[in-house]
Amino acid sequence: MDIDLQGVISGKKRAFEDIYNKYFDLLFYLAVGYVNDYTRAEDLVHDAFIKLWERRKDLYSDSNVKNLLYTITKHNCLNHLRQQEIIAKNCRDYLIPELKYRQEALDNFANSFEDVESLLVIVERAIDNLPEDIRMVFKMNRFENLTYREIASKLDVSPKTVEARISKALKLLRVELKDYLPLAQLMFWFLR
Amino acid sequence: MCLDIKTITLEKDFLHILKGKATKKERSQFFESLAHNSNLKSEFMAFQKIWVLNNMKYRSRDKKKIKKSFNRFWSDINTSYSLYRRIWPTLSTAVALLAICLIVSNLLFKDLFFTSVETFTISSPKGNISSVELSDGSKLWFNSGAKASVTVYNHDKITVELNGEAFFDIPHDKNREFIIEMGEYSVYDLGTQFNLKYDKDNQLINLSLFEGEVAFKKGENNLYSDLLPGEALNYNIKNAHKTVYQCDKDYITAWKHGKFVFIDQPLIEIAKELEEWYDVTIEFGNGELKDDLFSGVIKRRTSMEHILKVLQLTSNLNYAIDYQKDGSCYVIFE
Repeated sequence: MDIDLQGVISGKKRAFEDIYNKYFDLLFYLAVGYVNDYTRAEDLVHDAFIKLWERRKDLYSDSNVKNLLYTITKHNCLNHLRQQEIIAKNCRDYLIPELKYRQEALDNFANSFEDVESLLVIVERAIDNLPEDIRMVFKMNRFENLTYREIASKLDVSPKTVEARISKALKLLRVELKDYLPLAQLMFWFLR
Repeated sequence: MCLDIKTITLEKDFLHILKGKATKKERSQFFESLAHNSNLKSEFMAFQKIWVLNNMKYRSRDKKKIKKSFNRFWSDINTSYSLYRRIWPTLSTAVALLAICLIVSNLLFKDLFFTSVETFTISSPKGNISSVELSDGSKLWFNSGAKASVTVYNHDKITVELNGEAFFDIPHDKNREFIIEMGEYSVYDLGTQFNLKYDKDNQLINLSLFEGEVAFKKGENNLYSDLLPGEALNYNIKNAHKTVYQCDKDYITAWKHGKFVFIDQPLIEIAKELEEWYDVTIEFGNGELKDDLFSGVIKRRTSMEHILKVLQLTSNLNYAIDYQKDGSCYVIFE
């Protein structure tokens, strides 16, 4: 499904509904991942779509809408975290290390939607490379949204085993994917 | 591939944090340790990245929810752009002006014991907060601009008709009902501490619960009674839309302690408050600044120059102060 850019520019409901259905949840889970607040995350992505609506007339026929949405969402989240940090300075300073970390981590996340897409391909490939038993548990949990308990009863193993396999899967993925970390993180190793 | 126990434990800890299962204390300790261990930090960052990418690709909310959220988006853009910030609207408008020196009037109504029905009204003038202690030990604080009419019936029922923002600290008493009325809506209190804001003009009710339980009703119908301590309820009377979210007591009751609280508030609104508070005129040299959002808590005793400096440091705003010969003062934002 391609984006109906002309429809977006002229403010057609159908065109907006299409991009909304296609990208809202994806951006929402990005926001949730770094903002850690469902209601807030929804609002931040909502705001990104509103911004797109407000700026729709400035779009060109070759504008990259998904990248625009991605950039605005990321910017909104960073801005939100920065504001939270300022607020925390006054009465909740125990939150500051976490808020600082979140900003750094999100800043290090993909720079554009293209980066996200290529990372997704890489993750996919890495998942396929996991050992069979681990991959199966991981996929059931991540793709079918089954709980550890449900998976355990399906496979007739203990929930602890399921938990251990998921942890292993994530560990393997992390090791496998470490080459794709942004340079900024690798720099730490040289500077230490 | 071989994995030792220690590294798997690490992933478990990471998951524990990412899934939001850690306590506040655990989180705080965890992120504190990341700040001092760049190795651990980059491991966690990579882990989180995979986690988030995975969620982005494979998770989605149910179709109905997406449809509902799109409809909200579509109605928002087609009504008014300013309506879309729903989460804190009540609080940001609630931040009214308090006096530099807070005049707290402690009224004691001991006489209420001797009458069967007694009504009195209390209004907190702009720039003041007022507090009242009732004969049963209930303590009420009213924010600037709030008005209330309190009626005590035969020691077994107290009603408060409220317009504006107030904080309630009500001791539990099973023989006495405590009801706060806002038009046809009401809150039944069952021995609690909570902050309630009724914004009559914008038809919004905000209820933040800190202790005990309350029931929120319309007429005789129970609208919501599952609020837990630490949660807040936003209710929009116009469309009956309710949102429940986590709240922070220090933050919400900052007004009680004489602080400015700004949460995602546009500079134009902050400017209005500063104008009234410091008796100055603020002009915008650069109109784009008007919509810049700010959040923060600032003591009201702070000098205007200090507040302006804070605003300047946290954004790309610049200001100039112009004292006139007649004693008036202009501030220009640019």
